[in-house]
Amino acid sequence: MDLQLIQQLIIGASLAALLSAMGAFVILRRLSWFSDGMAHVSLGGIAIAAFTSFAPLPVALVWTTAAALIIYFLERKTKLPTDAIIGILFTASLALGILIFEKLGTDHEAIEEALFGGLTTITGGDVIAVLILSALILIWLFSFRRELTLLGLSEELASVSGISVQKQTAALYVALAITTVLGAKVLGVVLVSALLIVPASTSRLITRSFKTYTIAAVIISEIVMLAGVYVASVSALSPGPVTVLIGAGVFILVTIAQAARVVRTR
Amino acid sequence: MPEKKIAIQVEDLTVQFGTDRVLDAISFEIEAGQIVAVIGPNGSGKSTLVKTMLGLEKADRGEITYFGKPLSQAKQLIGYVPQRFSFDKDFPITVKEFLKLRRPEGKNTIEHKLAAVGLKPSMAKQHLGALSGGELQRVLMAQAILNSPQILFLDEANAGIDLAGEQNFLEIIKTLNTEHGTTIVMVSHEIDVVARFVDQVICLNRSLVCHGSPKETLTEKVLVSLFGEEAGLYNHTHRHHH
Repeated sequence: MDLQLIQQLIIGASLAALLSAMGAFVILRRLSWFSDGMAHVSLGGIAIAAFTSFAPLPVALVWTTAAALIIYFLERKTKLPTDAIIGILFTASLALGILIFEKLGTDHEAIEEALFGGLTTITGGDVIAVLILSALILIWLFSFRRELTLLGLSEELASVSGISVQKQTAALYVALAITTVLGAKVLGVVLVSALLIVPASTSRLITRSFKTYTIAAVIISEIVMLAGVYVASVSALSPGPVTVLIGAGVFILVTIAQAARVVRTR
Repeated sequence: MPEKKIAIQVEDLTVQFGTDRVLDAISFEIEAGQIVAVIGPNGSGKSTLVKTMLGLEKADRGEITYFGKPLSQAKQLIGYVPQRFSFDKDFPITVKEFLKLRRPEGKNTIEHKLAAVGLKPSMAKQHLGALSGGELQRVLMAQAILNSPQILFLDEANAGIDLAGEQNFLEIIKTLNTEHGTTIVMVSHEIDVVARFVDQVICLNRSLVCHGSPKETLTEKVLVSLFGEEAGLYNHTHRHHH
């Protein structure tokens, strides 16, 4: 195995753990649309980085985190529904990104890579950034898993038991924004939310406890991501679509197996 | 006679939703170790009062203290059983995992508290979403008393349980109160239950109508002023909803 493939598999494994663990809370708190919005917002950040000749990952991280905090702020200060706020922000950022790319005359290949993911442009710095940030978010997630779960089940109970609903929600938004930007590096901004949603949803079909739910989500995610990265790498295809299709395949298989089990037990 | 300890003090509490004043300058004290019922007709502000006392609604004016401390310093003293607990029933979580979310202190706390609310230890492994209404209510009670609160709030927590279950529920509350000295504040619709079960009653109709022992306070005149002419009928018809 060559060094580049090993690097790609390391980044894939790290992202798979991060995306699936985060996905458990995305499903619980119904934040699929938020994560999809954040991924699209990040394209604006990538374009600004191209325009200013900065490295894309740090600019996209700052840009998207700022957008997450703006959503959090507008949710509380306006009477607009959250999905509308997300829609406004992500379309505006996406439009800005497209215009910048147009103005710069960026080639289609680079835009496609941002949209659907890529492995060839991953730098050593990207790998280190992904590993460090993934580890930090996973540690935070593990430390506050009880608070975040109670918050997802009942804001009322969480608040009465002394959990700061506002702080934890803001922290979750920021963590989710960072997660989507990191994931988009491999899977692309259009497809990254699939790895947040598919493993957790698949796991939910087959588990009854929170512990097995999160463990199964991580295992499914690792299998899907590593298979996707490997297939994409050896066949020179975009990793985003390949990984997402493998994930969808696993989801369909599990759904059919579950339906068959239900029919058998009747 | 030793001086009674004040568990809860509410002073000039006013809550307004837009131009609608839901609670108007409410003041009362609750002594430690008492069972207190908050009663009043629909829309009288009962739930708003409890929610404001728990910090779930913002007060426009007034002050609430628990054993002399503000709510922010007293959260560990308080347990709460909500009126409704609507959650995603398909979410994979067991009863034990749900109770663990409240970070139980000490060994075997979960088993002890499940027993205290009349549930078998085997219930801990059950899927939370698969419980019956009565079982879920008891699990919510177990989470509320998990870390032995000094004050327990119940917001119509017996709604949705059958009569036998309700009797049992009241016994659990009584045991908590007598054995652990827990102060109980319960919102209730059931005037007959209130009359024979609680030490003190707070009658609410956006402002404080009365406060005292049920025997002295719940006069025909007060009940009619709160619930209208059909006050007597109210008890009777309400029981049939269960």
